[in-house]
Amino acid sequence: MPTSDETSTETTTIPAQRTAETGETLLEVRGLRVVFDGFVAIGGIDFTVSRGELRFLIGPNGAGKTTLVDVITGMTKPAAGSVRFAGTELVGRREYRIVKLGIGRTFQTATVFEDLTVLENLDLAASFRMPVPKLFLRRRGVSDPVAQVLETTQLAELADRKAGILSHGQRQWLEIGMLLAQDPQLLLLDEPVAGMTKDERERTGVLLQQIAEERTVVVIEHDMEFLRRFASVVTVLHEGKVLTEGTVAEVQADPRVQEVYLGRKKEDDESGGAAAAALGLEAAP
Amino acid sequence: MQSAPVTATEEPTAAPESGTAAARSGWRARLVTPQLPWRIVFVVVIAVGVIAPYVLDPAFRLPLFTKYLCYAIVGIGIGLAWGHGGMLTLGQGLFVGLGGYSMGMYLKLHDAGPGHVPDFMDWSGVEKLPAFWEPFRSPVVAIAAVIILPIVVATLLGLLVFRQRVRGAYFAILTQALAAAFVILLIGQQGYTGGTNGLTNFSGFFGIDTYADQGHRTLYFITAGVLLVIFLLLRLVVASRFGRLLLAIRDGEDRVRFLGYDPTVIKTIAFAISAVTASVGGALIVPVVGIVNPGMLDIVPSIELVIAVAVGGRYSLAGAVIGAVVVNWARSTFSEDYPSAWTYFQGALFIGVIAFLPRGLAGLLKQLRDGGPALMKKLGIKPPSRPAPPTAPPAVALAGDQTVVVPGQGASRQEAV
Ligand SMILES: Nc1ncnc2c1ncn2[C@@H]1O[C@H](COP(=O)(O)OP(=O)(O)O)[C@@H](O)[C@H]1O
Ligand SMILES: [Mg+2]
Repeated sequence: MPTSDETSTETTTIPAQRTAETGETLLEVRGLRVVFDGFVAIGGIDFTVSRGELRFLIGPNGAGKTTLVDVITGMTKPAAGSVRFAGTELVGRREYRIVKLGIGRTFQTATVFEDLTVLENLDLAASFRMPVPKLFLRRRGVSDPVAQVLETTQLAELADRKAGILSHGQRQWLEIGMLLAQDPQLLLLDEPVAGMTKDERERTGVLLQQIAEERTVVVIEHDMEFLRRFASVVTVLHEGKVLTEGTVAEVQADPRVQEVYLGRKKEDDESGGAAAAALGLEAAP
Repeated sequence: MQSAPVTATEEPTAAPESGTAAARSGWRARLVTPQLPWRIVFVVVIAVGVIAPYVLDPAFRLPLFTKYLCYAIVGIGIGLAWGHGGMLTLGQGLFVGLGGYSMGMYLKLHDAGPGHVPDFMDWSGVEKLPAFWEPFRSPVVAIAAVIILPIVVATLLGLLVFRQRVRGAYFAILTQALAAAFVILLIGQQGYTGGTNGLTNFSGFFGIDTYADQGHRTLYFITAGVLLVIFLLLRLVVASRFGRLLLAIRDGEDRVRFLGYDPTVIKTIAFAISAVTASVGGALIVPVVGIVNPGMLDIVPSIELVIAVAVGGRYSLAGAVIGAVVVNWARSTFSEDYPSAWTYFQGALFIGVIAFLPRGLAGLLKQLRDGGPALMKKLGIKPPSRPAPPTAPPAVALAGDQTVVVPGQGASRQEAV
């Protein structure tokens, strides 16, 4: 298992009965191109994730990270290329069908249903395999998986409150919780710790590691602290291409990565500069 | 909020029992809940509903009131589709018409008798009954048509347009155009449909003398009963997972796709339900007013129904009922005195509600309900406490490599009703 050895297996909030064989390819993106009105957002990407991996995806703003997740989940149609999940082609499938195959995602800005309670949000996420006629039955109580997620995400106290009152961090946790309630094989998280406090980030990282023990997780994130603490394999995207792939140390030492982040700093690109700082790249070589 | 009784699970910490505080405080607490204003209103409405036919002038006021209840039935469906599902349907006249004409055709054929064509066909020189009229000789077929026709039409329409992600104003205009097209079709086929005059001069309704006082009372009770049943059924729908999903789609259709649901299916079902209610309302209105004609289904009455629902409060089914009754009652009263001013008044009412009462009249009741806890305090009952959202994040202590997750204090929580 490629996850960090710091992971504690003592936390039993998540059942670990599903630990699948690792190593086998779960997600395979080949020759992916995405064009928006002539603008090439992704210009030929190959990207492979093995079952059981916890993979981090980084890159400066506009690199195409979100677009990649959008294509995998059926939200954006690619101009060319293929996306295979456990051998099944995903391109051309509708979003909800891809979810039913076992892929779940979160959004860069956490989107939860504000008029529904925390519990109802989770319950809907957990019920999508229910045949439509059964949806007309009233929810009675809390199903075991949902109760479990309430515990895992520590939202039990807020279960009956409208999701609209949640704080920023709680929303992101609720969205991760909805993803867990969906029980997918592959989780794609788009900047799940953006805007979180240091403490919240830490807890989220621990949670992600727990989740990754039995599922495959791809996390978009560029906070270097966070990466160093929780990442093992990192894929760097830049201008719609895979720049490099490797361990955190390897990626950090890669001169091309330094150039991408620091080069932007010279061009007075605020976010590039911030990202470079976040990467912990103090000085140009 | 309805309290959701929690079934015992293996992890009682995650499944707090609801309403225990209420149970301890005895009958007063059980009666005096934040639901109380609604319950009082419900009981009063039922009482008024039972007394009304014996108080209202049965020849004039009562049939008018029954007509409002028919609009209320249509309004509930609009409340579901628009208020809960976000589908602004401006052409419910189409479905009102499907129900109204199905019923009207049966009544006409019943009056004409076997082997004969309805009177208006005679006048237009149509001597042989058109094939599509023939099944409506049977009352069973006619009633089945009232239910099935709108479902078929709404389902086909829904699957087509919702799949293409047609929504918002485009959907509203589309439904309106369909209602208009239906009206044009009806008017154009004078010999088959009665044209502008529609279908009228019915002798009765399933043996009920629609010209006698007692007949008016019977029609009233039938209509009120149907309204009550539909209201209670749709309340169940709204409270179900389906209802929650509908709200979710209203607020974030694209997000719902990533929960693994197909919004097309959910929206189509909700739209079909609203179509059936409109059709049932349309079928019931025919014996009450003694006529069904294109003017009742056109764009203007369709929009007026939506306005009535907005005034009553589109986010609650009760609001839709209140709106349909209040607005139509106001219209009758108002136009008796100032026949031409009503249109302006209605416009002003609509704008006023949109601007100041987006939740409609029902929103006022909701405020009353939210005032419930204050009322309970006065009566000396401790209101169920709502936990304040914890400002600090739940604790996870990181002790070296050992992660200790502190579970939420679910067990000690008292559920707010
Ligand atoms: N729907 C869209 N239409 C046009 N351009 C888009 C769209 N989505 C993304 N882009 C562009 O594609 C590029 C990659 O965006 P994105 O994947 O969001 O980057 P990242 O998530 O790595 O910051 C950006 O330049 C962005 O402006
Ligand atoms: Mg992004």
